[in-house]
Amino acid sequence: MSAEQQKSATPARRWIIRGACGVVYLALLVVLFVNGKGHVILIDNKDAGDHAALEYVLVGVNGAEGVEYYAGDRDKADVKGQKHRLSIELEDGTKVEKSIVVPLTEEMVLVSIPLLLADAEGSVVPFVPKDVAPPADVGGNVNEFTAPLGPDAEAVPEAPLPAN
Amino acid sequence: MSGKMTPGRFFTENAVIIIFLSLTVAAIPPSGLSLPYIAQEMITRLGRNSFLVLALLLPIYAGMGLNFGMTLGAMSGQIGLIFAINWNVVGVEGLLFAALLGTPISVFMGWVCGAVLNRAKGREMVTGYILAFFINGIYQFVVLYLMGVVIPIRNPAILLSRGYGIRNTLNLESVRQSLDNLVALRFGGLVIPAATFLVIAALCLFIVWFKKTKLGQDMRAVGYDMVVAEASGIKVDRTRIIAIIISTVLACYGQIIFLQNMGNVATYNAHDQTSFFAVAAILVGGASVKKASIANVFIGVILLHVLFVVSPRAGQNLFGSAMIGEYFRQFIGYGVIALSLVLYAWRAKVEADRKRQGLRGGVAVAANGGAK
Repeated sequence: MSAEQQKSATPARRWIIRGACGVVYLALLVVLFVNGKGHVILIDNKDAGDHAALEYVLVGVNGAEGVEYYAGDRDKADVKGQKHRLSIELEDGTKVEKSIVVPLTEEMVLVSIPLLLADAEGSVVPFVPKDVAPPADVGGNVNEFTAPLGPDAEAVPEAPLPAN
Repeated sequence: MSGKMTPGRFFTENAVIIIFLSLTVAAIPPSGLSLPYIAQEMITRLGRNSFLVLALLLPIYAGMGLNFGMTLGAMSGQIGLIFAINWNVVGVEGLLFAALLGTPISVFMGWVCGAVLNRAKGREMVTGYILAFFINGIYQFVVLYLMGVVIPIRNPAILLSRGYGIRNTLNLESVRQSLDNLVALRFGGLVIPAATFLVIAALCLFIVWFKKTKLGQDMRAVGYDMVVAEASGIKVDRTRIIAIIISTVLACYGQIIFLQNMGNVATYNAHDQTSFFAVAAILVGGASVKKASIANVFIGVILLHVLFVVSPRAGQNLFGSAMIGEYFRQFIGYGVIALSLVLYAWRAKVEADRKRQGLRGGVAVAANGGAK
């Protein structure tokens, strides 16, 4: 390759490498977002249409220790990612493994155990709480944007907050 | 420095370490804290703070002094974390997501900081300190007024009750200690966050490798003498900007590591003390404005934070008030920076006087093997 050809090839190669880095960066962002997105699964053992609630069932999420559910119970599990495995142990000792997929755009989904065991439609549905109150702030007025102590002050006992 | 190491000279060259060691040893007995407790706190604080302090090394290497502008990187990391919390990306993936989001912001901030510092050669530290205040104002405007209005925030739990602006304290429950707990080893009652230390070790290896590269050697040449470096064909301004960009990006990652250990973010304050504590730590470790090493980082973090742990309790037991210990901690923190800078200026003067004496000595000194 002549000197002139090399000279013109170098900026082009540089831009190709930069473009590739940009693509890798965006791809990493997407992968981390998809795999790291947190969801809440509400595990529901209630009557669902023609499917009655189970008297007693043990449900474990993604290999975690099973949680007991009696008829009418509902509990939540915090999960990460979209694909999850539910290990369901029935009252007679039968163990069933079921897989669910949580839609990426949904923060919270309701999983109906009776429907899931019956492989019926609607076993996993989005759930939107009616009123979501923001959590209480950690000390002080929620509209303040100054804090009295710095980030490394955890060794010092907190001074009592002034009454508003 | 050349010449024989006398006890007096050893003391002047290591005055800060000796003073801090003495204070720490003196404060441990009255604090009443057990050694296992102090050891666990040290391990936790080493993991939390070392990355931030390591970010200071390259600008010192490039002759730009202590990078008080690392606060800009800390702000970038916090913005990354805000978005990670907003989109509910949890665990280690959330930390990596925040780091990736914060990277282009910190690169831009580092470029701005480097460009400004190039116009203030010889006054980099104070310029960086003031620049951090200025960018802090922009950061607070963005986070307090633009987020939730111009920048959509879908998680209402992190917004102020008025509907826009981020809350002054963010709960990082979703990413809390994700890196620390990724690989947690237990030895004799102590919990060691191995994954965090592996990340810190990787940064140390990166710094060692980087110093051997051409860019690293260019930085060394620029740090030694800018005029000679320019004459040698090194693009001094560009090299300095790169040093600040790398430092700012590392500060971004360091702040994320710091905050994941803390478990919450004081949105408008967490970055304020970042540069101060990091600079104090590296100075306590024996570094100077012109010279710093990886060993200075770890020695400084250990010494400074042991004192931070024991001094409030020692103050409470000795004077009946823990606030005495807090005042003492702030006093020592700012004092050590001032002491180190004064000692550095004094040592430079002593060394210059010594060299002058050597030149005046002339033949007699040359016959005795040079200046002492």
